[in-house]
Amino acid sequence: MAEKETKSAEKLAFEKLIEVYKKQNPAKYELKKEELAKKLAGIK
Amino acid sequence: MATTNSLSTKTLRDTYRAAQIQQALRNAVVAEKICMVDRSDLKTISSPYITAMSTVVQAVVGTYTPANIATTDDTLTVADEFIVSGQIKGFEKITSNFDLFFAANQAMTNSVVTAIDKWVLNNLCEDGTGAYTTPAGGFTTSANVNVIFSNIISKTAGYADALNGLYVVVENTDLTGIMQSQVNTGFQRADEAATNGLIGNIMGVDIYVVRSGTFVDATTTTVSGTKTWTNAGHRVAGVKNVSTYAFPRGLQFEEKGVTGVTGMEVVCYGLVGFKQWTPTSDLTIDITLA
Repeated sequence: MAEKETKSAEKLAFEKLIEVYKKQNPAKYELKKEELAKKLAGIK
Repeated sequence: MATTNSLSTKTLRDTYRAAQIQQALRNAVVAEKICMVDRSDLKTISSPYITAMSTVVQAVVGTYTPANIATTDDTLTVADEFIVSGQIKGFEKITSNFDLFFAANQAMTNSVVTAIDKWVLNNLCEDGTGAYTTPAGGFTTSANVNVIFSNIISKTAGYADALNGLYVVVENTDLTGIMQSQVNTGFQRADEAATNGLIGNIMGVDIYVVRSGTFVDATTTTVSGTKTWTNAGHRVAGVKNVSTYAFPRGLQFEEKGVTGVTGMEVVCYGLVGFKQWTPTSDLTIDITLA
């Protein structure tokens, strides 16, 4: 059975940041969506 | 035979370079140069705005269709607090070679002011609706510099507010490309840059430099307070004085004797709010470094 991937604290924190950002500044989030996804993917 | 003398720790001469104790290395602050600052003791500042009026040009006929005029509230609210504190014990104050109390106050002031500056710059970058992505390499590639500056100008040119003057805030690591560009562009100006170093203005755009790590990603941290930013890899530019930060009554100091400890506890704090005013938000450009 494949091991469940564990996310680093840094990755979890950035995911949380994106969630908050989406609510606080939805217009800007739309503009930065791809950039943020790329940043998230870059965090191990 | 060689002798080995032994000296007491009180034997050797000792002097201090300065009359004051040295402070931690300080960062430059720039927010006041590019934003309006309000130090009155107001919780909110309102700046309502109306819809843009649109003129119709037509053949003479004498008729018209009245437009609806909508007024929208735009409000700055002071909602964040910057605070730093410490305790100078009685014996530390009495027996110190330096005025520790004075030095600590100065260090606290600097710490709060620097934190406010970082906070304002990140809010400015976040709330600006102007957008520009640099060519690959950003400011660190000298060939990009004139391209970036001309784009900053083109984004704001033609608006009356652009007469306030233009700025760009970069981090110190960006200077490599900017300075190489300055010494390689033009004749008199290149000589000037080669002799004197960084020229604080390119094409009429004032350059402000802050330390690396100023533009960051943060959500409700002890750096960002109630705000969330996604500014790592971003810089800010635009027209001066189209946003306001409120700093009611500036910095406040309180000194208090507390139970169980000699000396004084000191706290330094400031209340801050920021607003990029909606009608002019296009004039603040969020620069994405490619």
